[in-house]
Amino acid sequence: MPNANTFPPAQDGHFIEVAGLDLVFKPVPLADHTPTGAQIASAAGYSDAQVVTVLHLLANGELEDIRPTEVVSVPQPGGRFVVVVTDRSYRLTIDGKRIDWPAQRISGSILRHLGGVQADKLLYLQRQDKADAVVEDHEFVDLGHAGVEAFYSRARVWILNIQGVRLEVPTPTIVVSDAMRQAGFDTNQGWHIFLKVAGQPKQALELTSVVDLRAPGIEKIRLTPKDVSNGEAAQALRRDFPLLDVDERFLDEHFAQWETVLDNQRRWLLIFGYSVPAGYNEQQVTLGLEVPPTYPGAQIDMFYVFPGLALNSGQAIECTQVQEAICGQSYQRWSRHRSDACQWRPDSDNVVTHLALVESALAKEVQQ
Amino acid sequence: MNPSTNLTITNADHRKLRDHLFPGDGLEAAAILLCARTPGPRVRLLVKQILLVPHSACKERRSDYLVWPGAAIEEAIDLAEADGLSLVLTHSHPGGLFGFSRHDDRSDLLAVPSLFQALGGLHGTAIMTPDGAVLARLYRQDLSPISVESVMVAGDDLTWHWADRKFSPRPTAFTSEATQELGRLSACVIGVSGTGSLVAEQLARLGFGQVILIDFDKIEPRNLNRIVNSTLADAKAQRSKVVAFAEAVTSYRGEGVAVPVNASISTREAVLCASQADVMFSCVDTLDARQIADLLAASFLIPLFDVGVSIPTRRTTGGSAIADVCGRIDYVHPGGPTLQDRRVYDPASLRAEYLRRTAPDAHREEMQAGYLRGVAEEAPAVIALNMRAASACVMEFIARAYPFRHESNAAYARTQFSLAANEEEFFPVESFPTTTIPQFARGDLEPLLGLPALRAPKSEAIA
Repeated sequence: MPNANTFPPAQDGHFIEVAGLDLVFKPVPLADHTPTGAQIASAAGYSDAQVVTVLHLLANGELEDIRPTEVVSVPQPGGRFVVVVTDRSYRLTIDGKRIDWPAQRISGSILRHLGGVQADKLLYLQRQDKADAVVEDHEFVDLGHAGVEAFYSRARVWILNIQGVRLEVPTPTIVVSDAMRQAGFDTNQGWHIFLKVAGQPKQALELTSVVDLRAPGIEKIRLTPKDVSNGEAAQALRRDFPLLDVDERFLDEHFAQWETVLDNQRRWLLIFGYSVPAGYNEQQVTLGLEVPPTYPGAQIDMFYVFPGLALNSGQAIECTQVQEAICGQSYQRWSRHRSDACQWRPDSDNVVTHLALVESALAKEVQQ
Repeated sequence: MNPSTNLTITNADHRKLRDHLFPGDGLEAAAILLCARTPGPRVRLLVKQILLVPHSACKERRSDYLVWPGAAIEEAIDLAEADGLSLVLTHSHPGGLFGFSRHDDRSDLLAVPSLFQALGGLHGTAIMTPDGAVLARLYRQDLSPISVESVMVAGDDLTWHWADRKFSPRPTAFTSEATQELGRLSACVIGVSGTGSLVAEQLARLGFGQVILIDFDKIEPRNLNRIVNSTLADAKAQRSKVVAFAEAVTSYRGEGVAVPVNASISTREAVLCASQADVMFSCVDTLDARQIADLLAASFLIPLFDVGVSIPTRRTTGGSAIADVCGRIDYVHPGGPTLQDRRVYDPASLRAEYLRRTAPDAHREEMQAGYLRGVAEEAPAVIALNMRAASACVMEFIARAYPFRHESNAAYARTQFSLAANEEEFFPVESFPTTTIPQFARGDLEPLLGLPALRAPKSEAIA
């Protein structure tokens, strides 16, 4: 099917293309390739050439006003003209190119067309005292204000500010964790993440959240390190030694924060914010398990809590008198051991099964 | 000398394979070996499992010809997929041809490419003759062959089948032929100190082609009474035990025999080096090092000789007295009872040892509270006792590789001697329970030996 803008030449004459403000060009026969403005207006169907503005759309995209008596030389076939009834024109520039537009409003797509702006670029309206605005294709810009409206095109990058780091993003949306990584932040560290858009309340985000950068203004992401449960200065989670995959999966799923820490050659798994059953003086503790280097060949035994636990009933808890220093803090040791009937088995026991023992040991003291 | 490309199979699996491939009807039969691999650079295939192709499922069985079903290969592919195992398609040559026939060559070109399509990796084929000898070959993905120079059958006895047909029948112990065969083998000694230096000295002089020496420690003046080849100059310069020892080996065996690894056996580096050996000697003084040796033996199907000496003391009114002067030699064959099965260590004693090393106060307190078992006070071992035990340990190896005992080697899974009581006791392999351990023929699966502490660094894992 032929393109709407192509047509066969008339057998005994010429064609020109004529459009209104919508820039949809249609062929019009014209038996002269040096017409006047009045002839063009007439060919476009306007009887009174004096109130009609005829604009010649040049190959470079500029619009040239053709007076009714002015003769214009058109190629064969062709010549594109915008013919409208108007009594004035509005001046604008696109990327510095001057255009006189015969109507007070102009759409983004026509600006793009006139300025030859490629689809992979954005079109901006320059503004005084305000951030320049993106002009979308379907949007109309009012040219009626004083002064020459200046439009410019720019590569499509979106700007995102992450904790002071300016990112140029080639896509209009970005996942928070990607943006953080690009800005050089460790996503494994615990962060509170907030999105701040000028003039709006801050909005909490997750690592998986998607930020839409098309909103006006530069989006800013703020990061605040999450506090560890004991109120110490926040720090990155330590992974001084690895555990079994099954352990690490379980810990990640069930606890917000855990660390493996080497402290004077001793190897501790610390689980922060470990919930203890009702009946104790605390609701949450930091739980410590000592994991020897030959684990799981070597067993895990006992467990340690910080701060120390006491029963609300005031009763003493057996075999919890010994204190152990872990990373400079005094943990309470719970001397709880496997029975002979239930020895540690290297091929099936691990952190997960030991946590089950911890849980039942803690529950036992408050089950009356 | 580079140690040979090798396939290792336990004696139990070898027997099962032989029984199936030679059912007594004189016709060919087939099986598929599912093999793990050592991490390299040496290629060692470790038979983890055997899939027997039912005789009735074969379309045609003749004395010199066999047509077996592709469905069996499919089953093996499913089993091999998860752990990236290598498949070795195996059949019998009842006529005794120790070699691949032209027919075998042709059928390999048909069957092997389909294994690569399904699994990638490294796969091959093998034949077995009625005497139990196995000849194997491997292919890379482009079908270029890798010859498998030796097949080790590891059990109470150690047998090597060489592709070049050397050392068949098996050499007699203490002959130059045995020395020549040892020249093709690699031994690893874990711990090169009081007992280890004596074991390594014997192995190097016996003629092993390669002796891998693993120890993290330096020579100190107080070691000079029991480390052979160590000198005053070594102690003054605080030279590493393995570097100094390797230099001595080079002086009487030449370059390339000793491979010093100056690292603890509890490191990834040392475990990777040890995995390359054909046989292993653990001469260590900690339980966690024994556990690593035990797991190495199981994971890489390496026969393990473990030696320990001790001079326990008892308290007397006047001070202390010698309770005994004793030594222990355990031989662990792949798939047999492990050191853990023999209670050389257990999860509780491993933890106790860790605690004693890193937190002596906590260890003492737990002992007093009764949470930990106590151990007898030990007097330092002396070179005379070390030599007795080290000699027994290396003799144990010779007896396994070149059998000379009147009785079966199965009767000597553990030897224990007491010089105080002047007694020597022998424990047959049946006196220990054999538990199936998940590390059996684990090969190069991560984490190494199933221990998270030996896991590949994250960056290496990605590469």
